[in-house]
Order: sequence, then structure tokens, then C-alpha cells
Amino acid sequence: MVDEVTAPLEVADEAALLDDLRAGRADAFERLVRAYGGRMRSAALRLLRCAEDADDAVQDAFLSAFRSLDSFEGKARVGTWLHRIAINASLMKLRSRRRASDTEAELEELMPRFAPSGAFARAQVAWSEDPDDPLEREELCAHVRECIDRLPDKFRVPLVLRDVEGLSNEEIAAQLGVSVNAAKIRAHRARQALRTLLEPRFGALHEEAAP
Amino acid sequence: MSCERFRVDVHEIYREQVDRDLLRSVEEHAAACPACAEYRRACEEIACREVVEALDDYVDGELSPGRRATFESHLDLCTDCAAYLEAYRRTIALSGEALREASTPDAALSEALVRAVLDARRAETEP
Repeated sequence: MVDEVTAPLEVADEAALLDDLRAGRADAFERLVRAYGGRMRSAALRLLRCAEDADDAVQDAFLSAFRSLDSFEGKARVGTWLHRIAINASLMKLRSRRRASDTEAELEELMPRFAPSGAFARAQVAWSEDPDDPLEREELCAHVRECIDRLPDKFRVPLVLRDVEGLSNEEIAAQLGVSVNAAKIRAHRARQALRTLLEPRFGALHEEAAP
Repeated sequence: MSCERFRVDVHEIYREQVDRDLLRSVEEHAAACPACAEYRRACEEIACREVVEALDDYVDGELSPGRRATFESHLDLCTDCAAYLEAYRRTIALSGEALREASTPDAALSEALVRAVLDARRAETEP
């Protein structure tokens, strides 16, 4: 069932809402919050993993959106525009509470190893199938979330922005204030690290090479 | 040496875990078997490390046609890289599924948050 409160608006309704916002109509801001707040909070929660911080980020995002309403040219959908603002507000929040333990060393341990020839140092084993049973699947998803949480934020955030929020490398680079290449490398390394963390779950523990 | 054995042993050579006898049997087999010689050539054209380093470009379809063809001939033959690629793709799909599902139950916009946003907005605009 579609939740009417958080369902995205049609293009015509968006245009009408924007007109009302710009005209300063009393209920327009509340309509905007109710229509898009749920989806923005989802994105904030995925990045921040803390309900209280996600609420703060949503509030900051709406205030920031309202202040920049005049510069919104309507080239993107309102939902897309607000989604990006929510991500930006979440990243600001994240930066303010960054842990000191975000080191690259812990990620290095999770990268694949190669022999000097460039071949894999150990044989790679095919993963077993994903479970079909809904309960097992939900349990697997919980495990995946735990593994994602173990990644340092420097790598976890580009992975979430890329593979969950659907941002391009260019958008991630702009949000994080890094080069496109750095954003791309971080997301790739995060996927590789996560692959290593998930590996034991799929019965694909490395087999030692035969002597 | 069987073709099957060759395709296992040739990777041991790349891992540099090999004795002289094994190297000789592999060489002899490759000399007599064109298919395995081709297998070895494709494995040597590009190293697994290079394939893995650019796997995101491969998955996102951002490689040039020539580079893509080199990757694909390696991936067709190298069981290590094929297994790694498959697990890499599964990882991407699983993070999407796990986090999108996770956000659904908690994402509901509470009435308290709506009120907080509206109050903050009012505080900002009222003189």
C-alpha cells in the first residue's frame, strides 16, 4: 500500500506547491514537509544510523531548502532536489561527529591479496545462493547492515551514496568535496571490503592453495 | 595432464607456488593443446589485479570497447576473477536491498518531527 503522506507529488502538483511556497501561502511549507519528509528521513537515517541525528538533519534540510527556494530553477524534480539537500545536511552532521578511528589501515586488511605476478594470492570460491525464505533473507539483510556499519565512514558514506541513494561519482565528489577519482576509488574499495566481510556468510572461505 | 588439471595448475604457476615438474607438465600440455594454450594466453594478457582494480568501471559499463573485450576474455577463462566479479555484483545488490528495506519501518515521519520543522521555520521567519 502506498503511503499517501509520503507518496511523491505529480509534476503539476509540484508546480502548484512551488507557486504557493513562493507566494508565502500559510500551509504550503507544511504540505512540502509532509510530502517529502519521510523519504528525506530515510536517506538521512541510512547515512547517520541514529534517529535523533536523522531528525536534526531533516529539519536542517528543510530550513536550508526554504532559504534557497528562489534559486531552485525547477530543472530537477522537487523530490530529487530535496533528497540532495537531505544528503548534504546529513553529511554536515556526520562531519561534526566524525570518529577518530576512521583509518584506511582497517580497510586495507579487507582488500584482496595478489601474488607478485598479479594473480590472486588465493583461489576465489563461488558464493552460495541467496536464501529464498523471507525470514532468512531478512536475517541476511540485517547481517549486511552490520557489515556496512563496520566500514569506516570515509568509505561507508560513498558506498551508501552510490549503491543505495543512486548518486553518480560526480555528485558524490561534489557532496564530499573530493575529486571524482577519489570518490570513485572510495566507493570501489568499500564494495571490495564489504565483499570480504560478507564472504564467510556465503561459505566462500578462502581455500588454501594446494602445496 | 588433463585440460581440467591444466586450468587449475596454471593458476598455481601464477601464484608462484610451483615446482619444476609441475611447470614442465603445464608447458607440455599447452604445447599439445591449443585450447589450453589460448586459456593461458588470455590469463596472461591482463593480470587479475588489473581486472579487480577496474572492476567498478567494468560493472558500470565505462570501459572502452577494446579494454572491455580484454576483460571479458580474461573473465571467461579465469575462474578466480569470474567468482570475484559475481561476489562483487552480489555485494552491490545486497547493500541496496539491505539498506532500503531497513529504512522502511523507521522512516515514517513522526508528527513531532513535522511540528519541530514547522516551529523552526516559524522561529526563523518571525521577527
